[in-house]
Amino acid sequence: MSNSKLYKGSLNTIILKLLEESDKMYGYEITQKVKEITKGELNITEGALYPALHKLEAEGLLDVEMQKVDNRVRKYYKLTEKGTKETANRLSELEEYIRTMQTIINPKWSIS
Amino acid sequence: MKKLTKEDIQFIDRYLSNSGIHYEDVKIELIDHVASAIECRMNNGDERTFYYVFKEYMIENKALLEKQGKPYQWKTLKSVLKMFISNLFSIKSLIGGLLLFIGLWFFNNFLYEKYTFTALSISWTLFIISIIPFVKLRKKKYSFIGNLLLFDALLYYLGFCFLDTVEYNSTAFYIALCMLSLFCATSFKTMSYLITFYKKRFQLI
Repeated sequence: MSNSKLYKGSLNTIILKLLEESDKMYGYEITQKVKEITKGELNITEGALYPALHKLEAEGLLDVEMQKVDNRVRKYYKLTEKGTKETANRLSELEEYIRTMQTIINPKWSIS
Repeated sequence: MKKLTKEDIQFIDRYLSNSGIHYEDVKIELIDHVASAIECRMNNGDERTFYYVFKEYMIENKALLEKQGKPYQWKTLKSVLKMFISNLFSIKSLIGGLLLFIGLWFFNNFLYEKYTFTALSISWTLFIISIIPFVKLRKKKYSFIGNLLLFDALLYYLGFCFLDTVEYNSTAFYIALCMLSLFCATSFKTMSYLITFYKKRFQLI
């Protein structure tokens, strides 16, 4: 992942946000979607993605569905009910964080 | 749209196994990841055959993939530990532990009064628990079960170290035996849950 230290803390929220917008997604699809949205600026590696997905699954925020696709088994992730609520919380936390950072970095342009 | 053949997928599977990625739950996800990445490259203008695209992908990503496949990872061990603790004081574990302790106590006092026998009985119980996944899951390995076995081994090693320091047939000896019986029952309950979980999740394979 580029700028890894800055992005690392937001990875779980990024995953939750993407899953909120889709019904279900698999690992590689998530990496490609992030790459596409950020125009290649953010590149999530397997080493960061899968542990994050497994952690969210263990916390009960994600549910898993296995499907046989093109000669192999694919593991799809989707939000649970708890995950949907948590996504809203984490997104508002992240927005608050961005606003705070903005007031520090660029006080003239800050909203409040 | 180019898709990998069954033989290509089997090749990736064998390659990952030979690279030390033995847990099925980890490997399945990585096979799909590698296959999807290769298909993406082949569909985006790479005209080479599967083998050459695969080789190039592996040169770039092998280290990352191997890191994912490490047999013992702290995060997995921590999750197993949490599961074990939540099962420790469940009714089933308590009853199972009590029955095992009564059995060992009975053997120790009325049938075969020897420290070695009592200590070995715990080992046998642990051995039986350890071979259940190999029988039930047809030799397939899964990350949580592998980490539970490691945790069990550590726990019993510490238990026996303690048993060695206390006087045979003393109160401390029976307390340690009771604790080990409870750990055995909890381990059995956790193992049964994990086997059912993996069997259900990976029934496609």
